[in-house]
Amino acid sequence: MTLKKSLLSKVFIAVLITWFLSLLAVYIPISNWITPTFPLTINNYALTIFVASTSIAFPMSLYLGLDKLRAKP
Amino acid sequence: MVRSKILGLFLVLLSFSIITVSAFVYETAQQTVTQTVQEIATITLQNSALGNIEEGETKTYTKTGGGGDVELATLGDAISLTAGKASVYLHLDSDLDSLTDYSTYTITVKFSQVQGSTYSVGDTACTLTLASPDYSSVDLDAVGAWKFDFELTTTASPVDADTPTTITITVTAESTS
Repeated sequence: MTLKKSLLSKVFIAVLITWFLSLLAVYIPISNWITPTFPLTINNYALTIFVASTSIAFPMSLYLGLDKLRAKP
Repeated sequence: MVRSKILGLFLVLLSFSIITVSAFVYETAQQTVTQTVQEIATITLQNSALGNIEEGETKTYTKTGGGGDVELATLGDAISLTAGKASVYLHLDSDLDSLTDYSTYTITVKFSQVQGSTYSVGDTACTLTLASPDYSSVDLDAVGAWKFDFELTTTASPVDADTPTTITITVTAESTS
């Protein structure tokens, strides 16, 4: 694995963790897991991080996946 | 090589999972935030949980019992809600009017947790009866956590056989602005 790919993998894992945590931050208040809050307000920072991490994690995961599939022996 | 292909396939599937889950959560969040009316809880009361009752007998069920009342812990904190602003209104809709096995079936909803409100713990928020199965509306006049207990008073009508009955109460919250 080249240095560039290794770095890309590490960045992807960091983005994936960020995405998952921001997903929980956005989803838990609207779920039935906790006492409902009404009217509901969602933290704008959490929502921004969620959207940003989604828009980075999706293409990165697709790119890394296709790269692995295309790899020659 | 096979391991690399499996990892590649996993990452491709993961990418589509990320975008699908994200779209669902984002859309749900947007809908929830803009709602002025939201269903808070759906509560079901089954007569099997109330134990035996004789024809014509009247029984009162409370979360702590005592004083001749029957203890039923599940009636405590039956409704929980955090009000994000003052002037949130609770509506309770039940199907009590469909009951035929009881001549009396009264559900008294009492405040069990209030914060900075004009209400006190133990005050009656509303009463649902066979004749008046819905209530609109309980004014939650302060921001914070609210909890409500139920108290039931039932009188059984003469029936041919024990029949299972279920009461469903739908609690919705409304914000006017």
